[in-house]
Amino acid sequence: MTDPAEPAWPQFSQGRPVAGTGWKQPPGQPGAAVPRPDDPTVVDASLIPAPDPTPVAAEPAASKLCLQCGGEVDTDGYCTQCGAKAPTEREHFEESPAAWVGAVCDRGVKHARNEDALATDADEAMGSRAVLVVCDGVTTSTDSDVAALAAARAARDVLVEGRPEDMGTPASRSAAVSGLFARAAAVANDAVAHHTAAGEKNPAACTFVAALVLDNVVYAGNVGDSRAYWLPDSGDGAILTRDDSMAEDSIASGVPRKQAETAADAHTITRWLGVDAADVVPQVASMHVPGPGWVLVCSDGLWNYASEPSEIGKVVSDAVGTANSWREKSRQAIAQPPATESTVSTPVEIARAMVNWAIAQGGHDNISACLARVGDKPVPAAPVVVDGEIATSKIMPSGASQTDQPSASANGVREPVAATTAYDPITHEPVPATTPLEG
Amino acid sequence: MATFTSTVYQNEFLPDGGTDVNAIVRLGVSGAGRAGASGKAPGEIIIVDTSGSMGQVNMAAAKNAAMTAVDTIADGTFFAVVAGTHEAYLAYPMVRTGRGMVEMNPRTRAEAKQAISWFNAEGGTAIGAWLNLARALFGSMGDALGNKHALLLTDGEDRDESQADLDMAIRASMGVFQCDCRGVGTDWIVSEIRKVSSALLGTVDIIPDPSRMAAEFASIMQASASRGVTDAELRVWVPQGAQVLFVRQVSPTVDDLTARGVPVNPLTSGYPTGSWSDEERDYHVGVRLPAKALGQEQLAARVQLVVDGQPVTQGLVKATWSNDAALTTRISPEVAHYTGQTELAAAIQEGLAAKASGDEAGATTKLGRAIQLAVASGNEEATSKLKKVVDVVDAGTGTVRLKRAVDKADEMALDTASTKTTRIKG
Repeated sequence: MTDPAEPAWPQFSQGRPVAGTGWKQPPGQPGAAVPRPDDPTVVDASLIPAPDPTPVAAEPAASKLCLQCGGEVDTDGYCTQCGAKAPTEREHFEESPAAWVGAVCDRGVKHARNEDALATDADEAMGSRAVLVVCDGVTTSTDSDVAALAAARAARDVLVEGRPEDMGTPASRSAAVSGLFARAAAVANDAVAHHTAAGEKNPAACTFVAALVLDNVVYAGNVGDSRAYWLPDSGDGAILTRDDSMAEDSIASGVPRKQAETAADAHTITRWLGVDAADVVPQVASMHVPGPGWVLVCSDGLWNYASEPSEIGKVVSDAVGTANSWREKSRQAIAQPPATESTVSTPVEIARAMVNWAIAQGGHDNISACLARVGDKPVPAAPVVVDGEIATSKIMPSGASQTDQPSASANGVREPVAATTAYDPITHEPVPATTPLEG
Repeated sequence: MATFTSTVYQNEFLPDGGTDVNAIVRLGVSGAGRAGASGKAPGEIIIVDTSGSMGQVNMAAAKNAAMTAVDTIADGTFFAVVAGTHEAYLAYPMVRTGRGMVEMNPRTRAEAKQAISWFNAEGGTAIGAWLNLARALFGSMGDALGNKHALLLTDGEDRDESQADLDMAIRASMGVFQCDCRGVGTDWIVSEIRKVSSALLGTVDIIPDPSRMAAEFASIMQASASRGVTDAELRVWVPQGAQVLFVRQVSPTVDDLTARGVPVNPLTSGYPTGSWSDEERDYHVGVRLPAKALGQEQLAARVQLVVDGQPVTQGLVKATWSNDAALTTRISPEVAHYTGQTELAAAIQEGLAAKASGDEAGATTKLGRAIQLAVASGNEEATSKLKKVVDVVDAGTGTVRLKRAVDKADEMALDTASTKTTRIKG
């Protein structure tokens, strides 16, 4: 074999090739690994220089995962596998303040910005204490995405003060909670105003809905058309809030819900937060958790596709199935999943599946879904009502006329309503029932 | 320190069900510095055809030009001079073994010019053998060299070896060194030499007048010395399930890179682009995607320039599905312009090939289309060179008549210039 360092170069000297030194083909492999072009066994592909094995994106920081395919998101904001655009923090965010609470807020498909916002808080023990707030910014107003997020967070920060230990007896609690909701809405309204420039022609505006879970009692209040639902694992669910919208006004006057909610002006809201808002005191209702189920707080980007409690209840149960199958898939992807890895999906995964479902329906609006899982453990009996005032009210049932709702009190706060656990005499499933009012 | 830029020109909006994304990605380098800026000395090899066909005049001009090239090469550059006939010979340095290139200094410069002065036109032409020797000479330097560049001058057809020999030599040299090629006279074959220059990331041109040879050599050497960014690679990532339809350099010249892609990972291919001076190059990338729902946005391609294994700039090619016809029917002016320039290059080459094979009707149609495209896009070089081959009746409709008597050199000049493109009109 020729010494690679000692090739014999074909010589050209004094204008004449040196005899016998011609370079028809190179001898051996001088110097660096030069392929032998005369070797018929060498395949062409091997003559091409080897590719650099360095990965394209050497950024180790990209730990965000793609919502579409689970691939890694590059620092350029797109998935390294499927190329899907990763949403910004504002376009898609998730919260899970405790294992039984999860929330997902997403831009959807059709809107350029995510003007929905949410904020949550919770204590560790299921059913003990949770705050779920959604604000849906009005698209036609300026900076409503910024204002809605500020409003949701400001309201949350007020509602976290609602701690059972600070609120005395269950009877005095309802009054305290009504005051808390009123203050939360007022602070949220201030936050919207704070993000509105003086003289703005389209001042920022947003809806407000909040649910406060305290010792298995759910309080819900709203301004606008974002909603809170009670969705039990079995039996009928209920809408805990009453929209401030043209549609709801029609329903109140007897138009069927489906027809009212698909009318041209259905989405025109009659109350909102913003510098031009007249009345921002939420109506607050309450319900004692009757059994296992979900408290859902959401924007119309979700409920537009499933308004009836029975419909949206099915969306939740389907989402549980979807989220469980994701979990199973990701478990299978890992050779040996840690023993601690649960096979049961979390509320935030279920909320994500619900948001994906809404996107699959067209994602015409921004989508917010906050879920709190309650009632898995036996629930203590409903608190005994000591106050004398009794109203014959119940949780607003789907499609029902709302004429039997308690009238607003002088300060505009609807009296909280409590539900005891009532059981269907035939199915023995818990159902929301007519209950006496807490003070 | 070199800085790198990228700009993407495209219409990212696709109609419902649309799958094909076209984009022009402009990559730019500034502050490239001189060749050797990376720390490794540059290497230059001058390959001069010394076959018998060169004759007295061309040989004298070639000697003069080679000496001018040697004068232009900066001290510190490693170099060699190869004399090519039906075999390849190392004319300088006069070493028998070991390293086949020496460092340029006043002594080696004088010795090299002395060796060149003894060139004598004799023998045949085997360009593959010349490339093989050049590659072996670069190889004898181990990894001491940064930019590896050769200048090849020929005057004739590659007669004394098979086309397979030439193709094998070209493929083996790809990625090893770059090569600018020049033809003198009209007996060489443009397509044959373009094959070498294109694969070895260089230029091709005709030197119709031997007296211009020295100036041409000097300018090639100056250009080579200005390429301070060595061995850059174009990388194209496409998403899972997508397909690269083509990757073309479209400015300053048209060069289809598609088949040269080397997989970097399952979603990424790398395409060698050689060394860069302070310059901009435009690439046309075509990608086919699975269609997504209306309103969805996704990345269709990441187009990167990679130097020393590190991405230095990246252009993002996007796709957004929309049912707004006002958005989806727009065509990016840059994409349209370079699609036209690519067609122009093909029309010229196919028209000249048809003419050479006696297909006058085919030649008239193709060259007519070429003048139409050249005039419409403001490509003045192509227009003026076309007008030496055809009489233009109506450039707007592409109506031409083939000229009866055409100077062969004009035809070859049109052919070599066919791949040169213009930038879009301001």
